[in-house]
Amino acid sequence: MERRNLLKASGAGLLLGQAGFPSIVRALNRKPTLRVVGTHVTLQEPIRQRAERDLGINIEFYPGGSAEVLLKAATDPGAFDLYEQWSNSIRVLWQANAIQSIDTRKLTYWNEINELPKSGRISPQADIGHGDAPHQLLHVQPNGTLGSKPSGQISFLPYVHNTDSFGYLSNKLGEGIPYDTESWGWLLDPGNAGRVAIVNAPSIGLFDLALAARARGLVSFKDIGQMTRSEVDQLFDVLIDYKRAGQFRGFWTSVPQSVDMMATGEVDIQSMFSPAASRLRGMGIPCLFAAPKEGYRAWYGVMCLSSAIDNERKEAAYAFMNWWLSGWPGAFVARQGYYISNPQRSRRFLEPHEWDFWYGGKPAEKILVGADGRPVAQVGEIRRGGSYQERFENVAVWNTVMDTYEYTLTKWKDLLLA
Amino acid sequence: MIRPSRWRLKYRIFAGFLIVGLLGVGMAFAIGLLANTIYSDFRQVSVFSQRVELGRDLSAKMIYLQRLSEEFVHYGKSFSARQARLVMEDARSQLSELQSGASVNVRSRAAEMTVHLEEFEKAFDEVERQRNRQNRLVEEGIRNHAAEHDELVRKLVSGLPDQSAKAADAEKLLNLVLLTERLVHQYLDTLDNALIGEIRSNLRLARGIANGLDKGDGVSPAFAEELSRALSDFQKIVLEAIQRTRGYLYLVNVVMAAETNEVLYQANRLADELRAEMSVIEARVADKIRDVYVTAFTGSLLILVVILVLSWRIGRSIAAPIESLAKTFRRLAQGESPTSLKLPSASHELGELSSAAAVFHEKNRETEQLLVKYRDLSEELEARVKERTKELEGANFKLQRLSRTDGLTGVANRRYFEEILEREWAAARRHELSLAAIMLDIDYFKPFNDMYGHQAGDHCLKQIARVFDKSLRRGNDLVARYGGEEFVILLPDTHHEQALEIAELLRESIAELEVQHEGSPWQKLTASVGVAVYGAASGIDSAFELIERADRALYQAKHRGRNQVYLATYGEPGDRTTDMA
Repeated sequence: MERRNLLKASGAGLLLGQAGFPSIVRALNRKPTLRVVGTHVTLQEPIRQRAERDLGINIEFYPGGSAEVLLKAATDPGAFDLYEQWSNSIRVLWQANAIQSIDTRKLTYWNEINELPKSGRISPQADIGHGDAPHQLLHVQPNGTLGSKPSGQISFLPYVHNTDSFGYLSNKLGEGIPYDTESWGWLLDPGNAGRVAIVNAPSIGLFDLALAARARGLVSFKDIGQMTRSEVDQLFDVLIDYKRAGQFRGFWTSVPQSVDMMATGEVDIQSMFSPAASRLRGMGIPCLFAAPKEGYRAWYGVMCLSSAIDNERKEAAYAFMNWWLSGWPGAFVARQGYYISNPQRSRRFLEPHEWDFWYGGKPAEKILVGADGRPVAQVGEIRRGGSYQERFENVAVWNTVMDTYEYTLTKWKDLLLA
Repeated sequence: MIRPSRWRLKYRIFAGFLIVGLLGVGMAFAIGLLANTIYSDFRQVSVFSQRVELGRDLSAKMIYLQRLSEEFVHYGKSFSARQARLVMEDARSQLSELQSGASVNVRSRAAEMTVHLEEFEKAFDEVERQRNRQNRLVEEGIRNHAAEHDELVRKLVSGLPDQSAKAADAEKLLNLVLLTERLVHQYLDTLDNALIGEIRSNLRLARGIANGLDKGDGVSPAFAEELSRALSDFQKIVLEAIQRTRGYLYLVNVVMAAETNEVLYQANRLADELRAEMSVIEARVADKIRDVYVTAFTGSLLILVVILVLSWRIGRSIAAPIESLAKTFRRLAQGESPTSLKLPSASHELGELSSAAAVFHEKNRETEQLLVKYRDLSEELEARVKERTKELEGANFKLQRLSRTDGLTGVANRRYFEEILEREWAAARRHELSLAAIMLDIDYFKPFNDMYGHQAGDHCLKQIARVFDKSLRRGNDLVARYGGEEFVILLPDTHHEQALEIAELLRESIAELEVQHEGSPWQKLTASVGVAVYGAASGIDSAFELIERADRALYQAKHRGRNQVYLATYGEPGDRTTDMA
C-alpha cells in the first residue's frame, strides 16, 4: 500500500512492478537504504529525491495514514529505520520500546534548534500549551521515561511543526477577525449544522471538539491536555448530542479527503491541516485557516530512530536527520506553511519576501508560490495568525495521547456511530 | 386529390366510421403509451424504493458489522469474526446490486460505499490479525514467558542460601513479574493508560534487579544473562500485547467506526436523494395522469367533433339531394317546370332517383309547352270576341243615342223624354219628392227663320242647346226638344224656387246670347218659359198633367208679353209670372 503510493508519486515506477523496484535498486547500489515510515506531511517525493542526491544513499518512503503507521511502528520496529510523525505518537512508541534514544552530540544543528521544543516556549512570555508539549517528551530521563530535563539523549529529532486550527469558507460563514472573533466554538455552531467535518483521530480531533465545546461553554476541563474519564464522558455526552442532531458531515482521515469535502461543497468548516487550506486557496476556494481566539492546537513533528536499526543504517539515519535541519528541507516545507526547528538556517533558502510572509507574518510583496509551484498567496495577503512567534505564543493545547487515550478510543467510536 | 363527395354513399359512410374508429384507436394508443410511461415510472419508483431498502439494509448491516467487530475484539471469539465475514460478503453483494443499472449518482455513492466497506474490511483483517496475535500473547506468550522466567528464578533460588540478599531479589523478581502479569490483565480489562507506565517501571525495576544478580558470587554470568533475556522477552511480549491491543482498539473504534459512519452517511444521503427523485417521479406521474385525462378528454372531444362534422356532412350529402329531389318532384307535381333542373349528380344511389326526376321533368315540360300553346290560342280567341263585342256595343250605343236624341241639337228627343218622364214621375210619386217641368219656347222663331233662313234657325237652336248644356249641371236634369222651337226640361227633386231660378237663368242666358232678331221687339232672340212643379199639394195627378200645366204656364208667359217666366199655380193655371221688367 505505501509502496504503491510511492510508485504512484514517482510515476514511471509503476511500469517496473510493485515488488521488483526497491530490490533492483538495492541490488544495483551498495549504498545503504533508509526506510522511512511516516505521514504524507513530510514524506514527499521531492524531499526524498533531494535527500538521495545530497546524501548519496537510497531512501524509501512509506507514507500512510497515521493510525496504520503508528501501529506498524509500535509493533514492528524492524519494519522501519526512521519514523516520522507527530509528537503524540512518541509516548506510544516509547512505551512500546519501538524507538531508541537519539544522541544530541551526533546532531550537527542541535544547538541551532530554538527554544520551543526544548522548553515548550517560543518566547519567555509565551504560555506553554496544555497536553504533551514537545519539551515534556523530548528528553530521555535517567529512569527511562521521557521528561523535560535535558540529558543529551532525546526521544525524537524536533524538526517540522505547526499550529493547527480549522478552515472555514469566508463566503459562507463570513470572514472573522483572527484571535478576536474566530473561535473553535464555530465547529459546534448549530448554524453550521451538517456542514462540519472533524479529523478522525482521537489524539487530534478530540482536542478540536474539546476546544469547541469549551468555547461554547458546554464543558470545562481541569486540564484540557489531560482529561479525566468523567471529563471525557461529559465531553462526549455533549458531542454525541450534536452528532445525533446532525452537526457533522463526517470525519476525515487524510488531507486529500479534507480538501475534497470542502471542494465538493459538502463542508463549510472543518478541522484542517495547513496544506489543505493552501491547496483549497490555490483552487480558488475562499478557505480561511482560522486563528482562534482560544489558541491553536499545535503539533510537533517527530523523527524517531527505530529500536531495531543496525549500525550502518543508523549512520545513514543520523545523516538524514542532519540533512533535514540543513536548510533546504526547512525552506521546502516553509512554502507549505510548516515551520522548521532551526528557522535561521532555512532562511538562506528562502527569498526575503517568502521569509517575511511565512515566518514574519508580513503581507506578501509578491505572489507566493507553494512547494508544488502553485500560487498560495496573493500580493498583500497576510498569513492568518501572524508571525511564527505570534502563532506559537497562542497555543491552547498540543496534540496529546492522554492517560485516558484508550478510553477516548471507545468514546470516539460511540461518537462516530451515534 | 381525393373528393369524398364523389364517392358512393356506402363508401362515404364507411369512411366516416373508419375515421372515427381510427381516431378512437389512436386515442386509445396514446393513452396506452402514457399509461405505459406511468407504469415505467412506477417501476422506477419501486426500483428506487428497493434501493432505499437496500441502503437501509446496508446501514443495518454496517451497524451489525461494527457490533460483531467489537464483540470479536472484546471476546476474541472466532465465531464473531466468521459472522462478520459473512455479513461483509452480503454487504458487498448488496452494494453491487445497488450499482447494477443505477444512475450515475447512485453508482458513485455505491462506489464510495464500496471503497469504505473495503477499507473497513481491510481494517477488520488487521484487527483480526492483531486480536489473534494479542490473544496468543495474552493466553500463551505472557504466561509461558512468565513461567520460563519464574522457573529460572526458582532454579536460582534453589542454589542460593535462604535469607540472602540475592534470594530476596529473586523473590522481588517473582513478585514483579506476577504484578506485571496482573497489571497487563488489568490494563486489558480497564484500558487504563496509566497502568502502562506502572508496567514499564515494574519491568525496568525487574531488569535492574536481574542485571545486578551477576554481581558478586553465586550466579554465573551466563545464567544472569539467560534470566535477563527471559525478562526482556517477557517485557517484549507484554509491550507487544499492549500495542496490539491499542492497535486493534484504534482500528475498531476509530478507523472502522469512521468507515461505518461514512457508509451510513452515504446510505442516508442516497436514501435522501432517491426519495427526492421519487418525489420528482411522483410529481411527473401526477403530470402524466393529468396528461392522460387531458388526452382522453380532448381526444373524445375531437372524436365528437369529427362525428358531428362527418355525420352532418354525410347526412347532408344524403339528405340534401333527397330534399332537393323531393322539392323538385313537388314542384314538378305542382306543374312547375323549373328552367334548370338542379339534380345531385354525385350520389350514385340518388342518381337513379335523379334521372327519374329528369324524366318527370321532361314530361312536365312537354305538358307545359302544350299548355302554353293552348293558352295562346284561347287568348287569341278571347281577344277576337272582345273586339267583336266592342264593335257591337259601339253600334248599339250609336243606335241608342240615335233613338234618344234630337238630331239637330243633340238634346233628348220627345220619345226619350216621355220615357224618362214616366220613370221620374213614378220615382217622385213613390218617394214623395217634388218634380219640376219647364217648357221653353223661342219667341218669334217663325219670323226669324223667315228673315235669316232655316240654317240660321238651326244654328240658333244648337246655340240654345249649348246654353242648356252649360246651365244644367245636375246629372238627373233632362233637356229634350219637345218640338219645333220648343224645349222641355225635367228637374227631379226640385221645388218652386229652384225651378223658377233655373227657368229665369235659362231665359237670361238665351237673351244674353244676343242673337240679333230684328223681328223681335227686343231686337234679339228671347224665350218664354213656363214652369210647373209637382209636389204634395200640387193637385197634379199624372205626368201628362204636369207637362200640360207647364205648357199652360208657357202659354200664359207668351200671353203676358213673351220673354218671361210664368209659374203655374195650384188649381189656377198661370198665377205667377216673372219677366225681366
